Amino acid sequence: MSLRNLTNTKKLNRFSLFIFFLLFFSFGCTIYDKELDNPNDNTANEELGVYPPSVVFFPKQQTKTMSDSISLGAYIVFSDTSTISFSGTHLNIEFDASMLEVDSLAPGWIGPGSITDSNKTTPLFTYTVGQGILDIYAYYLSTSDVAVDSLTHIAEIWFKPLSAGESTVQYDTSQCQIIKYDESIIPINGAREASIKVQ
Amino acid sequence: MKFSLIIFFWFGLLFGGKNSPSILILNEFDSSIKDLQLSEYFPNKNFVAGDDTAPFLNSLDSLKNPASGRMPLVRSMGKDFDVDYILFHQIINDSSRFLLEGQMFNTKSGGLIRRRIVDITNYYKGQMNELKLWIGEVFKEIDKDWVEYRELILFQDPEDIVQDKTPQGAMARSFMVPGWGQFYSDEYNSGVMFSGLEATLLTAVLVSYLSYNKSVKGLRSYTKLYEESSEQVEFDKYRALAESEWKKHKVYNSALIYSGITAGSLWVVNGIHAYIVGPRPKKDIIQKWDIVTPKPN
Repeated sequence: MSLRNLTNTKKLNRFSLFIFFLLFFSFGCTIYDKELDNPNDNTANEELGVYPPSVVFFPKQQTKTMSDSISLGAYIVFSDTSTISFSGTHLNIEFDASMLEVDSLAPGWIGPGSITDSNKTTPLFTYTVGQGILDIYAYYLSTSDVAVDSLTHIAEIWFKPLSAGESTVQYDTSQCQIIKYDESIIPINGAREASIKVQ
Repeated sequence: MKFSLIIFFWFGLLFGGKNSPSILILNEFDSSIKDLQLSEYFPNKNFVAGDDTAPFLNSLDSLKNPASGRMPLVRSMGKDFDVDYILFHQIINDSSRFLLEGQMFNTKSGGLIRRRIVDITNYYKGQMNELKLWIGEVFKEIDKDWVEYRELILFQDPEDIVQDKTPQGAMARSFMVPGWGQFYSDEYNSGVMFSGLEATLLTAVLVSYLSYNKSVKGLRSYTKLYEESSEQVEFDKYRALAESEWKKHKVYNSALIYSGITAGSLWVVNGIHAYIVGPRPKKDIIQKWDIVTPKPN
């Protein structure tokens, strides 16, 4: 083989390599998974096997420092097509008392004519804080049937961090209740916890 | 009776026909070989020189029937010159090559009985030599010296030929830039085609990649907004947007893959094509003999 042919062969090898890389990078793009997980979204919950009505926290996880205040929303998620006439709830929430302390609570939004909308309703919202237990009672004081949104904000809870670490806040569904205006119980089909990391 | 027939046959052979056919030569070429004396090379042929080539100058191929298109003219000239055949030669010179066309007509029928067109590299006294080879071919009297003389223009050792342009060079160029090897080989149409197609496909790859990237960014952005939304109206909207971007990123990824595969395949094909059409040493220094024997009508 002449020197010229040898040089050409080397060149060809380099070009073959270039073509290979061109093809390789053509195949190299990633198909990302569709990771749409919002605890307030019934569609996302159902994909995780949490069926409505369910009690959830929002956000599902958060990282805070010792000096921060930790805000956590307590929600009831109904089906998008739900026609349940919801009137009140009792939520039993468990948390790590060595890490978190309940600082304050505020009533959330309970559908049309909500607890917070004092022009239309006379709300009843109360809570008790025990050692690692928070009980929230919220009632919509109406004698009539009320259509509610699929998502109902019951309360906003503010925790004060006591020590660094990772903890979960969760519902004890055996203690939780959702009731209709006639005080009949609506069964809770699912619950999601929240993760709090304190640095 | 038998004896009479044998005597009659021998007399017929001796006196009944011409042993040496007479040929009218009509040459249409430059002055350098006008002094050609064909009888020196074909002593048993009776050549008659003619000078009126004008009736033969228009292309034979333009006639409805090339073989019989000049019958009246050939018969008439055959009678006028009292010859058996007419040989018409035309040489057209190019800068480095020449084209020799030879036509042989039978004056009895008036038809074209042989034709040869040779396109050949110029060599010293090449026109004269090619003319001798043509006439020698016609009358089956080729001198081997003429053949050997023609072979002098060939490279004696083809292995020593240094080629400025090679098929490998064309392929290497086309692998670097699609179409370059074709341009290098003076194949302009295929060069334009390959470079154009490859440019279009690479643009498609680039557009698909940019669109894919944009969709991925959109997917991440809307997913973040979706996860940060606590209001149903908001997370429903961001969910729909994120799902739309997710679908788009899949479509653009497929477009990227297919356009990439097509561009890559075409790139390889372009390289192979460049090698196939790549410049090679001239093998047609002497073109193959092209003698045509017209079919009788």
